[in-house]
Amino acid sequence: MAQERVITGMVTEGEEGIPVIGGTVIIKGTNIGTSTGVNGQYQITARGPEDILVFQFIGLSTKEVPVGDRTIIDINLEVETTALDELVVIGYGTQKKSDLTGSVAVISAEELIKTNAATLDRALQGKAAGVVVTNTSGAPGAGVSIKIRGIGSINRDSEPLYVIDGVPAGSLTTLNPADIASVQVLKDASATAIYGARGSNGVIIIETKRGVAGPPKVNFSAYAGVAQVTKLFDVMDTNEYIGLLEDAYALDPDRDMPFYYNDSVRASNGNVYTDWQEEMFRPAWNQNYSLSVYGGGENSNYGISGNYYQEDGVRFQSQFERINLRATSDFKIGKRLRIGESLTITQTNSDNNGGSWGTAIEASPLMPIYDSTAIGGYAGPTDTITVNNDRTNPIAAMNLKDNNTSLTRILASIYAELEIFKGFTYKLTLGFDYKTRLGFNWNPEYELGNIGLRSNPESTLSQSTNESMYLLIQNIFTYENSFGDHNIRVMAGHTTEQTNTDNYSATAQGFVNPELNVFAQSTLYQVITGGRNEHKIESYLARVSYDYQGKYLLTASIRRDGSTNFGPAYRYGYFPSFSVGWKISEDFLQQVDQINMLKVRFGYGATGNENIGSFQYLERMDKPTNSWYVFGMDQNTYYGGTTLATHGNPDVRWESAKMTNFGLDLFAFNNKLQFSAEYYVKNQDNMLVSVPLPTVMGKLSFKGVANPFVNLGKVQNRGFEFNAIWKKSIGNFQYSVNANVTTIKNEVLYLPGDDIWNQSATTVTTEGHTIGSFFGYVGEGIFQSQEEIDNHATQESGTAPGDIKFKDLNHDGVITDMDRTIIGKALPDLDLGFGFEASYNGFDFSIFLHGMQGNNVYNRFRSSVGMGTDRSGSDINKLREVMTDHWSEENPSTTMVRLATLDPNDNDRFSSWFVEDASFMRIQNMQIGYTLPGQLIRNISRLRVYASVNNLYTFTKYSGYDPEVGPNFDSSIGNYSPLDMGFDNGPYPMPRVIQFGVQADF
Amino acid sequence: MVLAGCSEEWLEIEPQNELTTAQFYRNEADALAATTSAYDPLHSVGLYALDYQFIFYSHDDRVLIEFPLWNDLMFKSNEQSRIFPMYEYLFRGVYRTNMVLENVPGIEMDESLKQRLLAEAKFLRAFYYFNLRIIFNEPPLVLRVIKVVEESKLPNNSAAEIWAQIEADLQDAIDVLPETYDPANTGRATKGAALSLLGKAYLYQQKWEQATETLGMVIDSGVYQLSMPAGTDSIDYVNAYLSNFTPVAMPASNGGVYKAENNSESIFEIQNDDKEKGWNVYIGGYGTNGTLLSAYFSIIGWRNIAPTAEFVNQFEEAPVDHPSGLKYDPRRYASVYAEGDTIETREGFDHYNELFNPTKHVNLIINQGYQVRKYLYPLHSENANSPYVDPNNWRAIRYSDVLLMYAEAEYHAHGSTPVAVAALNQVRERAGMPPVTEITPEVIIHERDVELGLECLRFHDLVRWSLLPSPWVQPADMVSGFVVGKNEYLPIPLTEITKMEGLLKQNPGW
Repeated sequence: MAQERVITGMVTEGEEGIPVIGGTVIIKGTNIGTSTGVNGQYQITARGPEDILVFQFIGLSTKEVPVGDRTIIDINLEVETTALDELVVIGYGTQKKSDLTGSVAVISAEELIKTNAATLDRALQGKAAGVVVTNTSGAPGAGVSIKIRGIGSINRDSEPLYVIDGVPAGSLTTLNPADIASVQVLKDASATAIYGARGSNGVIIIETKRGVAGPPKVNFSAYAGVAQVTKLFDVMDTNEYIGLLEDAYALDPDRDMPFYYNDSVRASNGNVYTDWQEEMFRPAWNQNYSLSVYGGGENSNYGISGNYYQEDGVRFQSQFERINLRATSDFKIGKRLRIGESLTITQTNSDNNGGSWGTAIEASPLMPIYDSTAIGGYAGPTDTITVNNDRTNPIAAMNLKDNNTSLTRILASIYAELEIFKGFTYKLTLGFDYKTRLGFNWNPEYELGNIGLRSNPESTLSQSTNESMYLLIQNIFTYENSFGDHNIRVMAGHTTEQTNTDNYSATAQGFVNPELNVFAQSTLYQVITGGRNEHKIESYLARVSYDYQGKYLLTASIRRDGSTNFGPAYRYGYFPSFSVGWKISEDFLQQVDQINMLKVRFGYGATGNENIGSFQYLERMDKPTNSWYVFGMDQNTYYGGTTLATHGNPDVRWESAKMTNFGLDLFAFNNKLQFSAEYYVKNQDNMLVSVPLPTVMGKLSFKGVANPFVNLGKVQNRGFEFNAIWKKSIGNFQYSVNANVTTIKNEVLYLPGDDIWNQSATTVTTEGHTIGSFFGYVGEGIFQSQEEIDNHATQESGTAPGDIKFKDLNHDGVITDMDRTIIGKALPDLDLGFGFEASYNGFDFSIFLHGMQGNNVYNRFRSSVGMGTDRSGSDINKLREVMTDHWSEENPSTTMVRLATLDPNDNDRFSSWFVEDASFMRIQNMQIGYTLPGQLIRNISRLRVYASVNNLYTFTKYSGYDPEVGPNFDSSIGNYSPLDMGFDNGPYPMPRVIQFGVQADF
Repeated sequence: MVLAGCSEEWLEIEPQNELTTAQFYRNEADALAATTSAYDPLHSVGLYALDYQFIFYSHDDRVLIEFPLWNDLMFKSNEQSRIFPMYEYLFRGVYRTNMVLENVPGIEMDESLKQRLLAEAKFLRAFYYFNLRIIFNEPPLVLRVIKVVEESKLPNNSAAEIWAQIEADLQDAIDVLPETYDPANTGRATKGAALSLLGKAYLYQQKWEQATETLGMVIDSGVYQLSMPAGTDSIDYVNAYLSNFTPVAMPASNGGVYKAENNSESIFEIQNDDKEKGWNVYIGGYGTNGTLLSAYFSIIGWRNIAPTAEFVNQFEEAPVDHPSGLKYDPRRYASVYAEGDTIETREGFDHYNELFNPTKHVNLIINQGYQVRKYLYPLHSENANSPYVDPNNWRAIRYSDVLLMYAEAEYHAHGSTPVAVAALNQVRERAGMPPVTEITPEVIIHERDVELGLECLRFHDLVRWSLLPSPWVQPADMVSGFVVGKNEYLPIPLTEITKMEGLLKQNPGW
């Protein structure tokens, strides 16, 4: 033991000698090891001079150094794999980054973790050109809308396909961002065609972390933070509210102000003032803990991780919780066989009892919160207190109801890979994705005032169960070889996938004791409904990659998909693609040292979208509960009727997209600069359009969802994408800058038959314009005098000075619905991401900005609480600026309308007056961290503490709460509706989140 | 196994939640279900559960409607969101009757039942077309199931063609339909319903002779009787009449009751479930188990309508010796609430037993001192569970209407004959009002006003009598602009006109 001694030293990398943080130092043949600290320093106890130290770090060459008699060993590791050699996961295989000929964006684990986002999908925002991520809600655990290269379908899902560890499985919200090793986004058809009928909206491939050889690496990270709404609407208090009503009624010769608004009456009611927004929102806490162990030996490796995440919503009675357990391992059996698995079990719970922000803004400040005499204990709108204002008590239902959803998911895959002979391998993958979603909705009996039907007279319990099971069997053969300068790689495979879903739900009433809200305690009326679905896909796929001297690159692929979503006539589809690349820098520019690689590439391919729902090809009968009648003297015997539900279209087939992609990649200045530029044109030729049948065909659904689909629409998306990364070190100071820019032009080229409207006829999808363009009147100003009204086209009989003047587009002298036109679009022209990171002596700083330009938002609140007129005549509360700035003869405003108890001019009609430019640039995340020097604390090799702010500040001209407005969720299609984008109806607000965290390696 | 490609059969799957058309129309149960589906549109929100009343209350010069913009929309704009469902649901009805008429004949089943179901379908097709004709003027006549979009581009059919089809369908139905059904089948179309609708169709065409003859057959059948007061108390006179508009039987002074739904004077009634399932049923879809009339129009609801004072003034003072001692025609008390009346909602419910107060119980914008009581009273009291879904049946054809139509047709065909006078006096007698001695157009107009007011018949009557525009008694800022030659009909929905690619012409003036 005498020879045991402590060795210290410094590990650096590359020519510039940058410290290697978190590198591994082990004594060869033992489990003794440590990791390097923040300055690359390490300390290890060697047993004797014969010991050999092994220095390892991903991406750097491994070095073995005999200890000898030294006590200080400094070592420099060479950069082994440059960015050029990075392996990128493409569908059913990998490829070197420099050899890519398709359009693939890679997002690293570090980038994702830096966002401190609770879910992986939110972390993707602004990270890659061509990937537009829009938050749809600030609710805890809420999903986002992800669109890769525009919108290619007006029906439902334009969301990409997600492939997690090789299993094409939807939904990212169950993943722990800390488990992610890398995310690659396949964008163009030459890359996505290998996913055939599901590739047209792009593919996001997620690889999770796996163990590497070496001693166990334990990582613990935690953060806690607080979220708050960034602002509230500035609405009037009671005195201002009454004051404005007095003014409004004084201007109205036909309506007297209700007696109950008088001071004396209000005084007898206690002169209530309720600030509803204050009652609705809170500062909310969130916390996250992750613990992982990765390691391995010569023939096996392992990884285990656990995560607990919990977030309270800024609105009371909302929260999200996620528990996540994960295990992976890989085993080498003999020389030719490798097997492995990954298993993730997740449980999420989310509570959201509702509570409309819009109602909190419009509700009467005169309404008290509580009323102990009412069932439930809350006050509501009454004809003697709130009088005309029938908006409900927004706090009551939120506190009384109980609405939550839980999801249990088991995602697993097992693989076996056999090298049959050198270069020829066979890989079998079995995938399994099981989900159970339980819904619970309790709406107890309560009374809320006596107007507007706001009470709930009967306690109601609804529960639902939704189970789905997905199975994958995937066989892939790969052959790889070089013949002189010719390098070839061939992949061929067969996959079968099957999804079975089973759902049922029940509703019951008549609870004897409202404390016991279980079905067993109900005595009345039980609705039970449910159904089963099956979906199968069978596919053959093949891909050939060839290059000559690594300079001239060619990839071609084809996939044949058969899907049960299509009838026998069109059940199978073929999706071919090819792409070529030329590394110009290999033939020319070799003398230019600054350029490491310059490559141009071109790709073309066909992909599809099969997600149109099942059995669209069949004529189906409606269920009896959808058409029934009562016969008989007892008046409660039902007779189910049955009639045709859907006119089938036996010819229905894939929505196919043909995409052409031009790209240029540049690596320069010793790979410190990475730049790529792309241009694409994506033509969707067979877009499924639900043909609105004339009523003479017995038009079956008000919304048209039951109409048959035909493959006739044509949509084009095109745009440029730029991506640049610059990394540099100056001594201990390192920094990197990255930026990406996406342009999007979405245009409907052809539609069979009519224009397509959303349900409220406020957006139109028509040839020559963007999908879901806003459609309405053009507000051109405020009438300043009766003379101006008389000289203008006739609007309404009650139009008066101070009302909005609408443009007479067809010059017929009357403002009618023929004077509506396209007045904006929700899709941005540009999406931008910009990041900057720097570190110096243990300190690190990063900032990330995300912005959009050219997107319009319809600001609904300006059409209600932002105006002096009041369509419903229900005396809703208003913004303070209405009180101070409304139009009057003394204040001839050109932006604000007059004051009135009603809205005779129909000022709030859907018009350009409320469509705003919602371009914005947001400081999405800013982080400051410090990594403690040396091994200050025993057993901790690295300890970083940091503070982070999400949604720090938004630069925008938009006057509403948040310019980032996602598409509305359409429950009838179970998806975000591409026809209902950009409506700011007061969604769950996106909060500002401040977090403090710690990351420790042991 | 996993290496081998799967067979093509692996991708052949059958729907597990729905039948395909190939699996249907195979037995008696299928025939019954198919026929039931043809009745279903009647009780939808697009027709008698809300929109029909919404539109024809608004069009009624005896009714004020709350929304200031509503009449503007009604009479000026053809982008009217309530018109579209009505057009759609009427055609949905036509479509479903055509499905029955095409598919049921091939089913092997009891022949007499099959013939009855086909006759019911013909009655319903005529019923839907009668409404299409008087509301939308000259829509396309669709007598088969159209399966291909290319075959769906249809032009208008003339009024004469539509009337002819209505008459033919009803003649066929009359030959087959039974006069009554067993209690389990109450609510299905009867022979009397078909005769009454045919008589009404003749009346609207001013075919007075045929109308007299057909409506006379209803009267002579002896199937229908007005329910007469059982005593001389005021509740007898009010309730004998009021029971025609309530979901529950109304008490008589002798301890008995006046039967309400499907009583002896009901000829065709839209059936609503009395065990309704709640508000959510409406939210969940465009269908409901009951009507939404109370929710929209009644005192406990949104109070969107109110009767005009002019309407209330139409009721005569009762003779001093009226047995009930009531001051006015008893029908006035059943039709409207006036000061002094007590509101009888369900115990424990809003406004229970309150004294009627116009400033509290009527929407102030349209308050002329009265509130509608007919059909909205008693506020459905049976089910605490769903106070806003009303189980009340809508009496689409009442015997009183048949008697008054008969009197009118007889008057035009043969003058003020004793049978005409007797038919009209039968209606007055039930109210205890003195008989008239002579029929004149004014007498008919008046009697229809007080007997059939607030039943969404008045607008159609005024149109067929060419009495519009009547002095619309709305407050000044709500005056609607009824234009002769235009507003007799509603516009055909624009979307439908567009789909017909120029073949279908819009109604004049729209």
